Amino acid sequence: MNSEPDNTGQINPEPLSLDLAFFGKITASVTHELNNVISIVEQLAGLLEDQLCGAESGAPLDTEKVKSVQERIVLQTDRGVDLLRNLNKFAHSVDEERRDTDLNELAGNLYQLSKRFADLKNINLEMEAAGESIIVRTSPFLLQQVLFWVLMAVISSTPSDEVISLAVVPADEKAGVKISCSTPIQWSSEAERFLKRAKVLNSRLEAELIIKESNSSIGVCEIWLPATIIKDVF
Amino acid sequence: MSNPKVLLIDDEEELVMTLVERLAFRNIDATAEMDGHSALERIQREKFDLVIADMKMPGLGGLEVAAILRERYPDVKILLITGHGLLDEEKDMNVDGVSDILIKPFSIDVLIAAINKALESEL
Repeated sequence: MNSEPDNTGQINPEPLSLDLAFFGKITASVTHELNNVISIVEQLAGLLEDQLCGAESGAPLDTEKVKSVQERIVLQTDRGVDLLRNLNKFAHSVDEERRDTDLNELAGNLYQLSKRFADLKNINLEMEAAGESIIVRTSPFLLQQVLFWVLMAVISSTPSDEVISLAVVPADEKAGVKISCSTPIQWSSEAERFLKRAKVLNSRLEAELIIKESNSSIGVCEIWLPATIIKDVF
Repeated sequence: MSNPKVLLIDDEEELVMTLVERLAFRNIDATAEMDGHSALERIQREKFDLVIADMKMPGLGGLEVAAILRERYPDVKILLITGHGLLDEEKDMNVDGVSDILIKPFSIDVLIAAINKALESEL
């Protein structure tokens, strides 16, 4: 599913294969985490069963223990509900080609969906929403994809124990998402592949994508949406 | 083997702590660590008969932990667990020194059977 080589001799991925790669990556990650939630609930339910078995065999039933296990089950079901809610929002992002979208909400959802990729590298991913709602008319699916691949590039180039921040920033009549790092970044070879994907997708989005050279840390990647697509800031 | 010592490694703390409790209920002396590096430090200090490690964790994953154990502690038996939907051929893959790969979610009975099989194996 690749197109012709570009002038660097590399194959440019086709948009459809990029869309599928994005969908696959997010779905695999969230379902992996849901699998963990289900595994935990199964074991906690089993722990309750163990307690009841013990009581049936004559041991006193530890009601505090039963209550604590029940509370732990509730925490995991809440976690599962949040994961499903985010996945559902993500799945609906392809419903319409363009629609009015709250940039804080879109970036927040992407933050939730991407956090596990940062966790796996022991990187702390932080999200800073803008103080006001910023409504943009855009393709939420495309915008999420560009943001995701840029974020993956930053994650792959950031050492463990550092912090990456995803900030929604209004500026005059534009609105942007800035990704910064707690340490000067050295772009990895894997990052170049991810950034190439982001650039290909951004050509469909028509946003301004700024990628800084190695050794910068503040705003290593910025995505600015054209002023015309901002409908309201309040 | 009477009272085998088992070390569980998974970054899902609630999962491993619950498994530790359930294994204790079945007279298996289990303890847990949340990442590969802490687990290796623990293994330097304490002797374990079996290590059960998640394949995907921050830092060292289960396969990397297994490779280190094979080299430094060849007597320690290893079981891997994963939440990834593996293909049939991947489920059957032979990872050197690993007695089995369990796919999450699994029941306690499946885990106990895998523990017994691993402890009896000659790997």
